[in-house]
Amino acid sequence: MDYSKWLSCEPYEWKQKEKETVYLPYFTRLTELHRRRCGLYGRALAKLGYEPLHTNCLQDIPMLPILLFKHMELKSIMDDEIFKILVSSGTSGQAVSQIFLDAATARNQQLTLFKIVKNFLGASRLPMMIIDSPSVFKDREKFTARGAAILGFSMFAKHRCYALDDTMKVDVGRIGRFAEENRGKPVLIFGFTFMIWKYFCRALQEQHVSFDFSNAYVLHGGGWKKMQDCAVSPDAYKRRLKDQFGIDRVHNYYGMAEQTGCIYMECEYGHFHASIFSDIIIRNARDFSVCPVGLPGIIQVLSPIAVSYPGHSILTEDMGTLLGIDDCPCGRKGKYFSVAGRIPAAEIRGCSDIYGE
Amino acid sequence: MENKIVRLAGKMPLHPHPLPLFSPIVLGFLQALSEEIRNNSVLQGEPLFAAFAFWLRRKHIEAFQATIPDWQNRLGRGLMFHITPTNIPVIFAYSLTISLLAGNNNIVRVSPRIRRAAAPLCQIIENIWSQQDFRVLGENNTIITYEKNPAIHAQMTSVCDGRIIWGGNASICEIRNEVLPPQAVELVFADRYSLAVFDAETLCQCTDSEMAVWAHRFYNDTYDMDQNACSSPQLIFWLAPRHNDIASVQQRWWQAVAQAATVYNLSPVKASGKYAQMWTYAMTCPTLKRIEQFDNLVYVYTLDALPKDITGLSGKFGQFFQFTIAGLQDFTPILNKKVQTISTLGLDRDKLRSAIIASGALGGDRIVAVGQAMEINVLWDGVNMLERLSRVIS
Repeated sequence: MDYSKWLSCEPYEWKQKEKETVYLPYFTRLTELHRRRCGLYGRALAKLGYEPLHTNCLQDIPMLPILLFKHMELKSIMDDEIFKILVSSGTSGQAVSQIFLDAATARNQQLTLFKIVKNFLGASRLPMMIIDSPSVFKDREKFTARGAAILGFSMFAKHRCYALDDTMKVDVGRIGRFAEENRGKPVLIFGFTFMIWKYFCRALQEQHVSFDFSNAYVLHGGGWKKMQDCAVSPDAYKRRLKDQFGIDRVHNYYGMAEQTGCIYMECEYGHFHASIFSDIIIRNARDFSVCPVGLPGIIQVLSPIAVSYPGHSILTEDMGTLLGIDDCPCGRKGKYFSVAGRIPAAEIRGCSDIYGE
Repeated sequence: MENKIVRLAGKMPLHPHPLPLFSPIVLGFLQALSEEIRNNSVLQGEPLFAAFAFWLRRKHIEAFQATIPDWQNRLGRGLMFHITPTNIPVIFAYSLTISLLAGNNNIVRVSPRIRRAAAPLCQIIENIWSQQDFRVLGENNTIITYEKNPAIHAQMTSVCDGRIIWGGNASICEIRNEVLPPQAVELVFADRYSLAVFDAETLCQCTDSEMAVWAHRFYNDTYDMDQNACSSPQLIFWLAPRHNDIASVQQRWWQAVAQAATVYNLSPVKASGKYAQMWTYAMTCPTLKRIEQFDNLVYVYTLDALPKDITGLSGKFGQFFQFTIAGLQDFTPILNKKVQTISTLGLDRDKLRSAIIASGALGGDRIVAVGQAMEINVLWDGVNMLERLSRVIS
């Protein structure tokens, strides 16, 4: 199937069986494309003994460990076709992922994101408040995932307003004006999970100011790790937004820089949903066998958008559990799941790292 | 910088008082220690500590006398300062034991990172040293912990007669900035690399159950420490003088290893790290012929040539490189000075030793049968520690 036709479909209308009949031939061809065009990827498949003829089901598509995007330049396009290089927002000193995009892939990411989010917000564009600082775009050299997400979601914005100033301080005056101008109208509040918590909820509370945003949708993503560190559960997070601002419509999403666009939105029942634009498989660590519903494992993600770089099938470093297929009470078809966060680090034995503490 | 020293056992030795080697008070202490560990409800179930208690049995300790025939003419050097590993919480006790057997007083620094794991053992040692019979040891030996701090390292170094560093290469260089007194000796245990040589014919002749026994021993040498110990083999040489069907015996062997490894705790963080390492090798290792996976338990990398420096070929959690050689003349030239333990299966130890000596290889310190790679000995990294840590009165 041509991806532009794909984009004309409703994001949650395919049943899993139907979806897999489209995915299998598409992903087999996409694997072949990357094998031919990305030298490193092709070499790895050869050494690993990958046989395209033996691909009988989706789970046979090889999965690339997500870590490799940090150490290797993986691209399936010529250098003059590079439209932009997306880098993951790692903390300073950490290696970051590099994702090579051509114009078509970048455009498909945007259009896909639009289709998915539209399903939750409805069609009309909304006034948007971003819980971040405009300085995230200051460094023009680097196109960070944080910036990419803000730009991506800005497609839904009638106009944009940043809630934080350049020093990451909450701008009470600007937020007040935004609330005033849009009183009673639906608005979109977007930001990273932890930033909304720290720079919006807690910052406003410390200043003893409150606003009524009962007309708002909150979309947030970026992972739960820092929230776990402050012992805040997803329920407590939602409660806080309800109590402090009167917000009922809070949607978390799961996604990553390595597969931008095809995010997994959380439905009204708190389940992450795979749209027709991507899929997940939960893998048992011991042998990478497929975990059935209810059994936690490592999350593999599949995205048909990844054409300019070999990231169409990735083994993430996140743990998750498949909750069901085609039968979420919200009515959306396909797989739905929960995410437990990053794979827990454990004590590794040995004597190679002896004194470096 | 944090500069607090926490005492875990004994007292800071004020007036070093060396003892003869294998002195009765030390042997008595080690027997008491062995018993206490075996009777301790926390430690008896911990394989690392149980192995240490077993290692301390009297017969085994006394067997070390044979490694140093003139031991009765010897006396300890004085005060030894030990800087011990952070992630195996029992090496400090081996280091202390060997230095005590050599007749020394000791300051043993354990890292704060393993303080909790080491605490029960330190408590047992403290209890024994408080008994009347062993009070002298408690006054001349101490186990301490402190955050990494060059000033304290310097202070300890300035009073010692010898320093023992178990460390990564970078740490060793850092600690070496603290200059030792002129007469003091130093023992360093740096990052090392280990490998194995298998005689293909011997394994061909093995029955399935014999193969399983070898595979189980090999498992103990590798997976037990997440294949992260210096003496765990990373690269396997298959000695096959005749070009017989080596692939089928290799297949049998790795299947047996995978079988032995079914008890291994392959947690998601290990599986994921291992998988990423496999893809990295698949993309970047030019001499790699093929990769075989036995579930996620065993990854085997078959090489069709060796890189100039073999010690870059290493993986954790059950990843092995293999290469076939026709004779030992193909093997000894690759032994660079990072190579420590050579585990063997079906090979004559003396013959291999002679080959190493004849070739003038820079590395290869220790030849053991498969199954003994993890066993700590007074002979380590090519040095007899008892000899180095004592002085002979000629």
